[in-house]
Amino acid sequence: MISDSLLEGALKALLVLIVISALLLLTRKNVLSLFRSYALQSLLLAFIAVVLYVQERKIELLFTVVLTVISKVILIPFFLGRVQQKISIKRDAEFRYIKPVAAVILSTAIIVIIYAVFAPLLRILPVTEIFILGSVIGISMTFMGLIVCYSRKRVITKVIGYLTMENGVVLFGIFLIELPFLIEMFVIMDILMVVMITAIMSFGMNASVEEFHVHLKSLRQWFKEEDASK
Amino acid sequence: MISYFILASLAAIFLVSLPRSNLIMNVITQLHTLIIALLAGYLLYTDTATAYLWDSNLFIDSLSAYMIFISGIIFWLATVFAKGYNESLINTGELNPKNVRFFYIAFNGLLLSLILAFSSNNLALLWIFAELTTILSALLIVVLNAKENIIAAMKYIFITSIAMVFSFIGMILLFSLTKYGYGEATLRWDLLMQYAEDFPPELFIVSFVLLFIGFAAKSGLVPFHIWLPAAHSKAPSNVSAILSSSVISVGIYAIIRLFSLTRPNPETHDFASALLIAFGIITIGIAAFSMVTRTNLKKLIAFSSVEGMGLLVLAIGLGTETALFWALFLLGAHGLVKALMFLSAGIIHWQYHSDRADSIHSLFLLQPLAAVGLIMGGLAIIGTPFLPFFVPKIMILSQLGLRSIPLLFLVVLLFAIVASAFVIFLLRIISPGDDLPAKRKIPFSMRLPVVILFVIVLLLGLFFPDKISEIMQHMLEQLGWSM
Repeated sequence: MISDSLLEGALKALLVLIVISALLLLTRKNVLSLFRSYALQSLLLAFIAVVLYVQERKIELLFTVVLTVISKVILIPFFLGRVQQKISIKRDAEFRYIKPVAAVILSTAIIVIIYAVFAPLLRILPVTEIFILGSVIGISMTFMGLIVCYSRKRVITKVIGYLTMENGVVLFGIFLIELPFLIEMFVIMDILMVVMITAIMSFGMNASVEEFHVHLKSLRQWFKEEDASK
Repeated sequence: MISYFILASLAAIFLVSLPRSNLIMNVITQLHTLIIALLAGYLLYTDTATAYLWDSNLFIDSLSAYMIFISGIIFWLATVFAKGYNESLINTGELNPKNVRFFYIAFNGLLLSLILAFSSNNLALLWIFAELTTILSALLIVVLNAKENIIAAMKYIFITSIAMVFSFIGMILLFSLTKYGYGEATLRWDLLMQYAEDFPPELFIVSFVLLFIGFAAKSGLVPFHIWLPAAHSKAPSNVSAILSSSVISVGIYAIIRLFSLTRPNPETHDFASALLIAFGIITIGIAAFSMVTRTNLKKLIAFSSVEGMGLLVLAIGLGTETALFWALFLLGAHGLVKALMFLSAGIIHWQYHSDRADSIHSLFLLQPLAAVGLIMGGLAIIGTPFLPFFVPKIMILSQLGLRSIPLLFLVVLLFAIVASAFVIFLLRIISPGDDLPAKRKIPFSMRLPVVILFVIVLLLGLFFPDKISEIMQHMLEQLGWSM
């Protein structure tokens, strides 16, 4: 129906786009556009899974598509958007250690190194070249996410970095092997938990002193008592 | 059998979440933890054969039962301690009374997720439940909602979750190895044990290293340890006790099982063994030097946990039956000793409202029980004769000596540094100070667990019943180490 070469071409194009989306995450300063890039990246991931499904006809890939779209394209960006409104951080322009340009160069180097080191190992397995390429890009994306976590200061951006790493792992996974539905669901639940909790906590961290008034007030009272006793 | 564990935990979580008084929540949690400890103890004592549940996705063998047993005991003691300790935290305003229910729900939930992690027959399930323990522990840390607690909890979640992502890659790799090698993709421990022999060594090594990164972060090995001192020192002391004894054991538990997989394959085994020994010694080294300069009591104990994990990984990495036998014993003993020390630190916090060395003095005059508990713990950790760490340390060191004499010298030297760090710190806090603050009365519920732990640690050092040895042998057999 659809020729294999066409599908392979589509996969390659999608892989390139997904790398670009990861690069966007490394360089963007506007928090909202970070969320949008993340949603776009997850959507691309879902497209890749669709193309793979057309090629392989494995039902697990469809589960991946559904779960990815529901959780990563809709739920998580929506939730992060809500948190962001509450914290009201518009921009995260602080970079530590690694500046955006360096991060882009580093990412390119990472892709090349992983291709050189990891691809020969993967060739032991009976998989085709495009699958190896996808796996390599997946792992490279994990490292790019790590750079985001490492070089950004705001917790909300670090969360995006973690999510990118996670997308990288899913990409790696769908190219190499399809995970059973149950495990994938659990993992998604787990990610939701991590994201929710860290986001809520970042609300606590970035909030003003009033958020801790209970604690501080009682501490102050305690000090007063001590003074009185002296 | 596992279903009883899970049912007991779920019932406890449900009951605790109903509106009740603090006392009733405490009693329910105590019952829950005691039931778990007794069930696991019964399983261990009777050497019941491996039991499976839920399409063999959950199982319980001797090692699982042992880990659950130790966790059950320590959770129970921490709950007893919580009765008085939570009140003191509420009085000083560090704990918001509204958070008490939240505390008990997370506490029971943490025990449930630990039970599930220890009894998963599936690496993927272990990964998920290990992540869940991270999240629940982080919630227990932020129960005291100070800014430092939030930062500590965030550090904990981020570092371990990020490392666990790498574990996940390793897991996918392992999964594909079974698929392409055997046609049937699986992550079940018992099947992996059968298949591991024929995995291509290079890919198996890559997957082992990736998996190791995640679980090393979970157990606080250098260089992934940076979250540990912050998290364990900022948490309430009873939570620190369970974090330092049960929760970090999850990582070690996974490492033991993963390392057992590499055994049939000499090439992988040698690599894994070298990797674990290297990480172990580096961890002991960094922890030892960090301990010398500590001025915060709980940070000191936390760093000694890092050191303990280093020793365990070193022992596992040595890969001989003797070393692993004593590593398994040490795993339990370490948990009990750490619980003793952290609970004693909790009493000290109650007395001085501080964990800092410069505000603690005249400890023997004010809180003799805490002083005795701390000194006992310190002596045990540095390997004093007639205390539980003595024989394991000697045996592990002798095994290390068989492998490399220079490394043996290095580790002995590092142990000496650890010992001096303890001595310096303990001398500082027991020496008399100028103004003696008023002695605070310690509630019975806080004294009891410390006394119980003290007695257990003392007895474990003095006697080594044949039964314990039998149980350890049984675990070794099930892990594929024939004796």
